[in-house]
Amino acid sequence: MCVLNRMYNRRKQGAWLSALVLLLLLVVEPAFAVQLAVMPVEDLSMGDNGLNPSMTSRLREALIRKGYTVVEEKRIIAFMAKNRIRRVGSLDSNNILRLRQELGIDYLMLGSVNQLREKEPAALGISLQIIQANDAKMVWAGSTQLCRADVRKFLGLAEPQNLSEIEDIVVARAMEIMPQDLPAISEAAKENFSEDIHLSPEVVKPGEKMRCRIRFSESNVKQAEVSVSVVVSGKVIEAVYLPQEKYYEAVWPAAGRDGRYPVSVSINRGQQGRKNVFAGSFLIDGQPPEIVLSLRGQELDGEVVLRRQLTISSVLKEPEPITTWNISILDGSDQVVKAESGRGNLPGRFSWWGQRQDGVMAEDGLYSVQVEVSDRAGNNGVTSEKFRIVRKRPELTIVTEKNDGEIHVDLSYDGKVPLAFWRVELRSGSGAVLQEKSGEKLPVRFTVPFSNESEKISCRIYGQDVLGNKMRQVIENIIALKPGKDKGGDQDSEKGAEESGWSVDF
Amino acid sequence: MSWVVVFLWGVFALTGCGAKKPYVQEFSQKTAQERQSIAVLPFANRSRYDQGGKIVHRLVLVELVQQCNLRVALEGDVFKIYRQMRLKPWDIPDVEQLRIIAVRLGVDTLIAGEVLEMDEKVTPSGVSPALSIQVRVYDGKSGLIQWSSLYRREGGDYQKMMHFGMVNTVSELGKKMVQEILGVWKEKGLLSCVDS
Repeated sequence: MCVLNRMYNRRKQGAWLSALVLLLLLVVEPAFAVQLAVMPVEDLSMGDNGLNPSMTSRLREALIRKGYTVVEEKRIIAFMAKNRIRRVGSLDSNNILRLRQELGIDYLMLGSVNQLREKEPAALGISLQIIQANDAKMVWAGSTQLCRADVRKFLGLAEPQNLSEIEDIVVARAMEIMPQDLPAISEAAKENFSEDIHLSPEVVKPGEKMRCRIRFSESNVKQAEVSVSVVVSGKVIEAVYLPQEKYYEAVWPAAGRDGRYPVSVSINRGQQGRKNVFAGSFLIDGQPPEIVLSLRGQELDGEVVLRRQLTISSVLKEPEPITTWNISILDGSDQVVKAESGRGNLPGRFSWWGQRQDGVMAEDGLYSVQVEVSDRAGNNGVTSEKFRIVRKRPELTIVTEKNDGEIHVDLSYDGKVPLAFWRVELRSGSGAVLQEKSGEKLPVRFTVPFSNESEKISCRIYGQDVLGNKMRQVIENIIALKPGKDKGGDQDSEKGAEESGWSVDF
Repeated sequence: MSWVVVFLWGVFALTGCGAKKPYVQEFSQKTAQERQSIAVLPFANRSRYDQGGKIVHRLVLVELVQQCNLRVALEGDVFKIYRQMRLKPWDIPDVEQLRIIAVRLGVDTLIAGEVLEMDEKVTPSGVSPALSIQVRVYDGKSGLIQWSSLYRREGGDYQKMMHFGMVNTVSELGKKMVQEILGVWKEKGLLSCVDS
């Protein structure tokens, strides 16, 4: 009887043990299942920040089939919305650690469709990364791709027929190359002691304020335990914690000679250690940029003259990056006739065709080009150069005098710009050339015989000054011309080639 | 004897053993520096292929993780620093910027590069991808360039016989090229990564 009782008790105990083991298996096993988050897959074939929901779903399904516990998509989307994560395909360490804290994941999968070609032969290429969530370490990465042209089988049997089938194959291959077992991670997310350091401005004038802001990625910085200082040229500047802005800030005047100064940040976390980080450098610049301005056009008595076009070239004596530039043409009363400005480096060359801002051609006179630049520190450099616009046609004066069947013609010029050449043609009524004279110097006197008052002698006068300004005068009948000076007549001048008022050649 | 030479030549030609290797230019004396961590900076895209830089960047990242047991900085962290430093992905950081990036990421080596040509011509006879890349390696401490590789290949370069071995996508071509570049670096003792 006792033996039977013992046997009964043993069976009872065994049944209990079996039930307990089964219960443990049912309850504990899911608790040890590896939690994985599949982030939305980036699609590079759709341009910048493209999304591929279909590939995201396929990867999720494949991982679930592999036995992983995959975080629901809506929880991922909610996390991204909450943390303002707008980009897909990559995630920074802080967000990964936050993901671990908020969703309790062990690993994170980041994926991207590198190539997707729908037209024949269809092709697909993906790359995947698995990141351990507690320390944001990339533990695996792989890529796989397939093109229909890669798979050539006898009579086309078992070849993928469309992109969807290619997607299935690519995902299956990715799962094959992926590590078979990812161990569950029990450790909590490690504190990420990374810091954002912002040093500004990059270039300063002597005496101006420099700022260095240090923001820690972890939210629970105990400021009493952390001391932050900035070291510049051996001088230590203590950074002050600003609770509202949630960062440490060190402010100091940029003192010293012009030059580059390195900055490092020293972070003392007490028992957790001390860290020195190179934060960058700043440049002290107290010298205004020197501009070398040169004007190229025609020259007259050592003065640059614009008749058609003026080329303005400006360079910095000591080349340095500049932030803004302004170039203006001023008239004799310092009124701006034409101006152009821009950001970034100064274009090396400008061409001005003599047109004012309103499109009208500028009048003859004395003008100046003024170039003004501002460097990164805000130092301004200005320079100007004078030039003259001379577009007036040369005026030749003709004086006639009739005397005993002859006409004495006096041709003179009293303009300031020397003549390059002149030419006079006298023709009879029938068109025959009676006399032709040309030369470089004026005045000149010549005589033309005529028989009677009713005779017709036409006169054509051509002239051009050394700048290229031309004149043409036609006197239909010099016999009928009243004695005295004549400056008028049918004057033509060379048509200006000023099709555009201002052009900048970069 | 001549038959043996012809046979060997044939074998070499068919198996592509005589294929060209990535060109490597070394800028500093080789040091026995043990590299622990590496960051891949965004690749500038000089080709007309949309997102070409990002494709090669991802492939380099993947192959570095696959081939070397190094800690590779996350792309998200790299982009965060670029944003902080107001650098555009296609900008080439200067020496000081490289030093700052290396310190902030806590890496000792930086890889940057450019996609010079990326093209995929679809013809009735198949696809002909072409890719030309330049990959540069910088020392994180000094910000100075250590070595760089220039490499250009076409899909047909890998063809062995008939359509066998033919590479039909730029992503596969890129993968193969990056593998070859890393292989040459390892061979020359430049990249002392531990095979995983």
